[in-house]
Amino acid sequence: MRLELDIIFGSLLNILTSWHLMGLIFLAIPIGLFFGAVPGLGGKLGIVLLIPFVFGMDPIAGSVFLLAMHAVVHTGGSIPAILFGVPGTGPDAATIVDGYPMAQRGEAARALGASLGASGIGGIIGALFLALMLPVIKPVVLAFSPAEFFLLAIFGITFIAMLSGRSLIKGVAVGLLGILVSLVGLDPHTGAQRFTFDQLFLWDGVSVIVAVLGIFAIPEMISLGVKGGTISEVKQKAGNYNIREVIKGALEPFAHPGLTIRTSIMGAIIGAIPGLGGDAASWICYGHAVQSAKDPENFGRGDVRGIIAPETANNSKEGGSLIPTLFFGVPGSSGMAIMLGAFVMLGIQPGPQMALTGMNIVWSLIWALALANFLSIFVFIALAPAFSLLSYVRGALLIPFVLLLAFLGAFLAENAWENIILLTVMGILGYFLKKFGWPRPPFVIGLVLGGIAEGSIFKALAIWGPTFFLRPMSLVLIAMIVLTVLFYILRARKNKHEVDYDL
Amino acid sequence: MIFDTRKLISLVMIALFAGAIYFSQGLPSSAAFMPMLVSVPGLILCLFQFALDFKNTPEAAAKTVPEAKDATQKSEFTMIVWLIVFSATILLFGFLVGGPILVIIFVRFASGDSWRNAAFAGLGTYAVLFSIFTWLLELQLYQGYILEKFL
Repeated sequence: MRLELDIIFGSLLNILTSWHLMGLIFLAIPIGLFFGAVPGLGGKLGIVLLIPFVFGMDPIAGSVFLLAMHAVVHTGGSIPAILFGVPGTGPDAATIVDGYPMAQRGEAARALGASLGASGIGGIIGALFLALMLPVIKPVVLAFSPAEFFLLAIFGITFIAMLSGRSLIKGVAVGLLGILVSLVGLDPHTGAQRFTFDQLFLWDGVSVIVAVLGIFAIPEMISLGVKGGTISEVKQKAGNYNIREVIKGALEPFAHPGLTIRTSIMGAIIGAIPGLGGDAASWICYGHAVQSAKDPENFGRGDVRGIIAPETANNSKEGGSLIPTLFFGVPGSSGMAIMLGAFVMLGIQPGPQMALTGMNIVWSLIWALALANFLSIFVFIALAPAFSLLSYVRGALLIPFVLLLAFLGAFLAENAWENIILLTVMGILGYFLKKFGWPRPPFVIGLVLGGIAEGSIFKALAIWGPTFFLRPMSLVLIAMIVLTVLFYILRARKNKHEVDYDL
Repeated sequence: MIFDTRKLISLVMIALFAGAIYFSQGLPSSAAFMPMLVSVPGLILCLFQFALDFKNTPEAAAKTVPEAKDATQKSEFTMIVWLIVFSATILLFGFLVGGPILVIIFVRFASGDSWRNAAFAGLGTYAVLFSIFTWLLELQLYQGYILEKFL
């Protein structure tokens, strides 16, 4: 236990006493707020575009920087949601329901403050949740065998495919394509070249960074170019509000301590379930706030509790989603899948060994999460007026810079110019996947989990043969996969499931 | 029968999975195991989706205004051409030279800004690329096929 305390407080001291790490956190916060405040950008794009900047950094510095940026994206996302009724990121949509009416009746400052306070507290509770779960996770992770890891990978893909789009068929197919792409390279067992077409740069496989940039960053920029105009299409003027009122609003969560703590914990738990993600966390917690209120009729008309609930959940889920990401190598969300790729690039190998040898990194990330959320309150207050103007950024001006950064990231991923061509091809594919409603998050999950799935199934077959499916834990996971699919089919029938068309 | 681009993406997915199955035939059995495990169900799902596309297309396609569709397709084509131009320019001239040139051209012609703004954006791009990546992070940026020949 003494050793654990050394790691816990040593990691904190390491961050607090390092100008380099504290500087990176302070730098990451406004960047994260920027990506959240500009509708259409979001945390995923934020990570992929920051990847070129972390090349050469040591693993702790790079991961702390990326996580600190990602942790505060939803804090920034609430700015356009409250001021203009346009969510900066998907999960901020729930904040509009009460935040926008508050802004319309002249309480924008109070609403922004409440969102800020709730986000900060939620993020800190999420980090605390992760810290408290560590003693429980460690034995569970170590008890998992290759059979369970294979099925967990399949479960992760199924779950995310189900939740990330309207069509399960498309979602699973894209997830399988992600696994297929992860198999490119030298076969780990025979050394045979698999789908490399004699290209040396493919021997180590397709870089996760290139694939993520191609599937996410490029299609967003093509869409922006096709759409034209400002990013958010908002016509109103920039919001004016009093900073003193913002600070008062930031204290609102303390006036509703029960709700704040409950929704923070709920958000962290939802975040820990692979695939549920931010949208589910914010809407479930909003629903809880309505249900548990004595005066539910006030919700939807500008009730501050309608801001506190989704905003605490949005930020606390990050702590929860780090659990499957770091310890099982199964990303808790598509954003975490990209983060996972970045971790691997930095030399951090998520998986069960993290519980044995990587606890200093885990604790550094926990502290980074808590510090970023706490410090974001001050950065937000200082910069909020400027962020409200970001919704008017002209898309055409962003496109060349983002494209250039994407190409740079693809090149730097492996110092291979061929990746520039690969990025272009994957970008075009990604655009049409996006356009025709083929969900892209399962691709990244499949890409990240493909290697784990292949390694695990070979080990499981070598140890138990085909009967590995009959192990008790395997049966539980199979039941979960089947139930997930059945749930999807039932829900689709109930809602008279429609296929997504965006011509 | 109406054929729209939606079906094309299903066909591309079918081709990718079918191609994987085809190329897996030439691999040792243990190397082919996982690709087959993934590609066969993937192919089946995509064929099913292709069939669904055929079943569902006529109504959805009929709702689309042809002019709007043409304008969207034109914008898409333009953006894809820009993407290829970016890729080719970087391959030929590298990041430090090609990057600022691309930004200037894009801001001037695609965005319709003035030459002054375009030049300012280009200079800013060069400053960021040089100061952060070359000087601060000490990264070796790709110089491009043409410039590598001369430098």
